[in-house]
Amino acid sequence: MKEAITKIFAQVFTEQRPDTEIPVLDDTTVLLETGLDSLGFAILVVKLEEELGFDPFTISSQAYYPTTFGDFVTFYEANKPT
Amino acid sequence: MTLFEVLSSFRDQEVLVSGDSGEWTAQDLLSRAELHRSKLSGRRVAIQLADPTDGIVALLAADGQAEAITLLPPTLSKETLQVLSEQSESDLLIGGPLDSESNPKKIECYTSLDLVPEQTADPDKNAQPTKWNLATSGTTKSPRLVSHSLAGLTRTTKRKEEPSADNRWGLLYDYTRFAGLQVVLQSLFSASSLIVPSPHVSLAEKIALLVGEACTHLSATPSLWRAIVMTPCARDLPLRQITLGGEIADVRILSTLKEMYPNARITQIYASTETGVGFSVNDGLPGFPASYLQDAPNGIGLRLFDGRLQIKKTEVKRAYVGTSERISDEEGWINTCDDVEIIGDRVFFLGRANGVINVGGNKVHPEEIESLLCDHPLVRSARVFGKPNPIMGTLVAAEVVPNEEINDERLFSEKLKNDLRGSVPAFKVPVSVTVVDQIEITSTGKISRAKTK
Repeated sequence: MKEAITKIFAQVFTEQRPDTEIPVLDDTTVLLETGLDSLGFAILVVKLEEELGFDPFTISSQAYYPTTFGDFVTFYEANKPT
Repeated sequence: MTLFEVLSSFRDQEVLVSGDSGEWTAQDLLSRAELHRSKLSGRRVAIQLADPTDGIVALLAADGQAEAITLLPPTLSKETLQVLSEQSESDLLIGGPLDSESNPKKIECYTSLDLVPEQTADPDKNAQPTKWNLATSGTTKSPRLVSHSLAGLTRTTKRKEEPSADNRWGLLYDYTRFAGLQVVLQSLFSASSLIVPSPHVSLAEKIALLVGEACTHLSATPSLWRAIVMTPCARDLPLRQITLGGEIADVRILSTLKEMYPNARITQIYASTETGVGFSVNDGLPGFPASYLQDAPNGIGLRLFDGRLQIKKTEVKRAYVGTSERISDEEGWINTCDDVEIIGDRVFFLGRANGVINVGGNKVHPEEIESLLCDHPLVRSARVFGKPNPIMGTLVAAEVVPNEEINDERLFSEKLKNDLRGSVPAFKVPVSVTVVDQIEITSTGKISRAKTK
């Protein structure tokens, strides 16, 4: 899951910030300090839904807004339909 | 009462405006403004200063002196800047550059207030309250100007005689736009401090500054709030007042804010550049009480027409400044273009009637993107619509009928998006482009604007 998210993050990042180097992501990376803005994250969630087939933000009954990349991946893993 | 007079009544306030670039007391701001007041007497001043503190000083200097103030967002294109300066009949532009080509009316331009010369002749004393012209967010057409008065803009603002230093407003909006100006006026009129983060740093850094400055009052769109709660120190904001506006607020963000900030009052404001503040709701639930349709607060009128919300407010001007384009009908009703639905005793917002897509507070006219797509050599026809999104409320999506058979749909859609990226801001580029055989047309021959879920 982490690998898939990292890959699509890189795609979206290149699209949104063509002149900026793709940041290295680890679990403690703050999402909104990567250089991607909230529009970028909204797009990332759509791309991930196309790729993975689900959107945890819509599935989850709990409202949740992740801060770090680690939180983000965990949220996707926790809400993956079985 | 002018803005200058309002601020004069709490000259002793220690720090009034603070931010990355410094701290200013009310006295500092008044002293700076005082130097320029006579220069602006009787003039029609357009202000396009990027720095919010410079902007506040210019407003202090101009209000009560100038005949009209026109606030122009720093991001306007040169063409729009020229159109709006002419529509507002401005004779002085502070901050914005107009080169000789785009300045046929020979508007005097200065990069700062300090450079504006003293007037040689005694100006006619301006007896009328200064008009405040604000720009709408331009979408397909160029932005329009709406005329307000300071009294009208601050009608719902509580004025305090005594400074209340423990109320500390954060400014995350552009101060030249309606929502940002509301925050500025609200804080000045209630003698609260205003914290102004630099517009050039990341949201996480802005929130860190607001935490450091102990911000208690914060106003943002629901989409911006979703981003705020994703920043690392969001929980440390000592918020007592949370304001949401500019977009539909959903249950998720409202409940998250309630949980994160149990001591904050949550206010949803229904406002626009045209109507000013319409009404507000403080119960932390989506929509507004259906009883407002019979008995609306603050002396406004609300009604439904064809499932759309209409609003009536006496001080709203009939037409946009410098145009004959109407804002309200003969009886003063303004069509908000917001589709609503009554469920039980509550009115809920469904979206924009004219198909306008609200991407985190930025409005996108589908026709604009459709026509850009149709101009593309690979495209025969296109339909653009809003796609609900958990982070931004809505994103732009498109269906496209290609000119020739497409082998690789993904490659085709990436190419279209890439080609659009050069000509429109990122929020207008469709996040998904789907290839279809035909575009749904209504019986009147128009592209269907029915809601897609």
